[in-house]
Amino acid sequence: MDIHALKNILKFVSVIGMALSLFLLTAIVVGWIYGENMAEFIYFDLSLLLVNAMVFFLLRKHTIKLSIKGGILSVNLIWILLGVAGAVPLILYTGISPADAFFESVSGFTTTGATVFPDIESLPRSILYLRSLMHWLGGMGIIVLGVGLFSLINPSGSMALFKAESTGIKMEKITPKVKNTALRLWGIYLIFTVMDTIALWYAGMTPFDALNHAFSTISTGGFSTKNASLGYYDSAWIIWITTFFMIISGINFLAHLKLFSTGRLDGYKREEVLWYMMIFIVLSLILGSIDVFVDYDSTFHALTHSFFTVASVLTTTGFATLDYEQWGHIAISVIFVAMLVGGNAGSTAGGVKVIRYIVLFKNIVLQFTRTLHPNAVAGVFIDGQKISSQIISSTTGFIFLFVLTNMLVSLYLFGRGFDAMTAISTALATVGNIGPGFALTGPAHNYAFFSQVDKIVLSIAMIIGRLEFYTVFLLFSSSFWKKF
Amino acid sequence: MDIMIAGAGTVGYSLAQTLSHKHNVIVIDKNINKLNKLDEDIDILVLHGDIENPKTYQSLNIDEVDLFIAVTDSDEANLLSTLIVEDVVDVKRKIIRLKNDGFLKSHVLEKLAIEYAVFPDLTTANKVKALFAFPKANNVKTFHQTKHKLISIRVQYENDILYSVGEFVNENVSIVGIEREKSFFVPGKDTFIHKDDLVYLFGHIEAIEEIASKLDEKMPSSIKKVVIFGANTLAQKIAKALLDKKLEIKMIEKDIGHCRRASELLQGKVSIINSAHEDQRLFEEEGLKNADMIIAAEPDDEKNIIKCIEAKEYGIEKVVAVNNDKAYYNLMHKMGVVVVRGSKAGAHYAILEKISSSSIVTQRHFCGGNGVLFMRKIYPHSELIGKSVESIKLDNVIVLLLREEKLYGLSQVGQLEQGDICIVFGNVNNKEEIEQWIYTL
Repeated sequence: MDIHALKNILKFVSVIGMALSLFLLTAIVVGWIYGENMAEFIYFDLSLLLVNAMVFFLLRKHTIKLSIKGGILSVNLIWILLGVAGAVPLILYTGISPADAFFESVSGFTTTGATVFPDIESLPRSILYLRSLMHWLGGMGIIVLGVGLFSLINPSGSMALFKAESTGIKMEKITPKVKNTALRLWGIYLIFTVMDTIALWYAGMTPFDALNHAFSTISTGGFSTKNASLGYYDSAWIIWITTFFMIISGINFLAHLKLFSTGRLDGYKREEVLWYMMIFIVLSLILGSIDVFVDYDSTFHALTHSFFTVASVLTTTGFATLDYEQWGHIAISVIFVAMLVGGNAGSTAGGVKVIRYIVLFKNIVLQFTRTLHPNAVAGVFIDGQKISSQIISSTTGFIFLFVLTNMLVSLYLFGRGFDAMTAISTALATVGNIGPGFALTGPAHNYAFFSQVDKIVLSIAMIIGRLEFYTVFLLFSSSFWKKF
Repeated sequence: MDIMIAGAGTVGYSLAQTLSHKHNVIVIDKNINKLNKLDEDIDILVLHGDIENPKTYQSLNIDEVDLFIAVTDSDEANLLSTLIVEDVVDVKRKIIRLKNDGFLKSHVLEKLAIEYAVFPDLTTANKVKALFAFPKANNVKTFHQTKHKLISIRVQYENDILYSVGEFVNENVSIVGIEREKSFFVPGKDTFIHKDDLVYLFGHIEAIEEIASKLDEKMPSSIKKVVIFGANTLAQKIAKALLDKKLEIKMIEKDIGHCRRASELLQGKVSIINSAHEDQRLFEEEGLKNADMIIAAEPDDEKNIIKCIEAKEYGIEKVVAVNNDKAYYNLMHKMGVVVVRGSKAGAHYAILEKISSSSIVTQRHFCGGNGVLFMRKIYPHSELIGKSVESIKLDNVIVLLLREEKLYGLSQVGQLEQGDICIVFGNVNNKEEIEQWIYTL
């Protein structure tokens, strides 16, 4: 790598580092409000700020002109460094091992929501807040934020960077400058967070819990401030509010943006949103009826929890109110389906995402047509637009990489001696950034029992899932490192 | 500024690329592949649609744009789109690119409220024509504010005398730029002029001619026999422009259709030869090797380069090539070829200069876009009259004051007078600083 590329990456990383250190200041404020000893946190945050500011200062005259390779490398690097930066306060304040802290931090930034802490409620407030903050920053993508705040992308620069961290098939722009789109997306994100905080507070949470849960909900993360997650609150209001916000966070934010800027609903009139809502409702109703028939619950109670659970898993949030594993095998199957589906492209949710299934199913139908009518001129159309064969093949590639990654992680865990259910569901829960799986990692359990190496493997799995495979796997392509 | 560009071809692409640095740019085109490429490369908004369909503009949800630029390949589409866009969006200024120079003298542009139309083919043809008035020139630029010209000359000494810039500079002429080994710089008075330099002179035509005869001893001073490679629209325009120069012109073209149209347009005053001019024998059989000058006016830069190499092999000194792809500019220059901006590059710069120029300041590019000049005329009632101005604090620029067609340094004149023209020459890298300075004199 030449010196120019190195400077690009360093400057880019330093900008994100500075942004992160500024956000971490809010955690210090929270700790200070609750009278916690923040000295170490302050030292850490200041040194983070200083180091990055120094790099930035030294490179202040360097104009960033990231190539595609530089962009991809930076994004990977940033996500690993985010994990490290988030881990330090956790080590300082909770005394967990570095691998545990890295896992927790990556789980935060990737909005997975898997935790290594058996007793969350005993943690200092500043750390609880930090965990939720990591979700919130990771949900919309910290690089998208960087793009918006610092207009890092040079006008003739590559969109590759924006895309590398994106959460869908195609990151669309709705304004001429990517910076403006990024800032507006964050604006909507902020508005939703504020709305959710106020609603939860009004429904009975303390302001601190309301804010943390809002961070966790809108980013579809899943960290809670309570051991029993949302099950702690015996309030149908809180559950329904959270369900609502989880579901809208799982919808493409550009649709929300359209609603906010033009007042028109046509952003939602898309096949992807339609299927997403349909899958949500059907799965919830099935799960609800299982609850009614198996547990003899009241219909309202059953529906409240089934809608919540499906929303939580479908949007890859991972909150829990009940231990749904107790509902029997059909319930587990239903939730497995939700785990595999995921949210919308361009949302904060993870997983495979509905649009990819639509593309693939329509492509299969197309193959049927082509077999039966060899001379037919046909294509895959979504929302009246023809989908290019390039998108179809990248979607197929995505699914393959998703399956491959899940398989590798499952086989690793199985080889480590865990049962098949734990291995498969944990792989899916980490790669899909969901959080809780089944069996040993079920909603009533946590990830503390895994060995240090397991946690590193799972952390990498989470990053691979968050960056949607290609960005990470590209690093393993030999041509990525070749100059020629 | 909010700028909408109709057409994502070569011109649309390069305009979007340059303008996106400072402005919000939207590009509209029917061709999804071209748009995808733009979307990948540049931070702009692309819109897939027909520029002649009002629905396209409606889907944008915007009320007004500051500038609409139509640069598709079709005159009709460009003209029509300026009308249609206005029905949906409030457009403040309109600029279009046209091929048919019949519009130059019609009222159509006025009726459509088009502020500026660029006729790139015609501009290129006129540039080639200007080379005949001044055979030693590589490039001739004229200005509407003054009779002074900016002319570039390739240094071709027969002997080994070394001249320095200072020897030539006087109140009639100044050396404002040198291109040496691919890089452009603004020389100081003690800079020596080397062989193969491309020297940019600004001043009186006679004064420039005098210097040119010293710097370039090889180039023929009169041209009679000219070969034009290509008989496309541009080549036809070039031939037409040259008709009144009493030259012997031969046009070589592969496409029989082009040949026929050229023949009709030029009414037999030019010999048009239909041949795949990859055929080297033409140089022998048609006597092309005896030409004084060849003009390679094909749309492909590559073909033009090959023709130039061949001509040079046959010992033809004056070799002119039309250049559209900036990537080839340096290569062409290095080969000692006279480079004339083709219709695409020409349209790009003409539009860019129009956008960045204002009623006060004119901006022009030269030396393949590596050099830039700003010109500010002191109009009557200007608040600058009677003011003395300090020169720009920047190395590698030349500031001149043109008063009554004589050139002075800023320090020589003291106070500014009505009719003075302040001119700055610099490297394109210093464009922003110079622009800042000249606007805030």
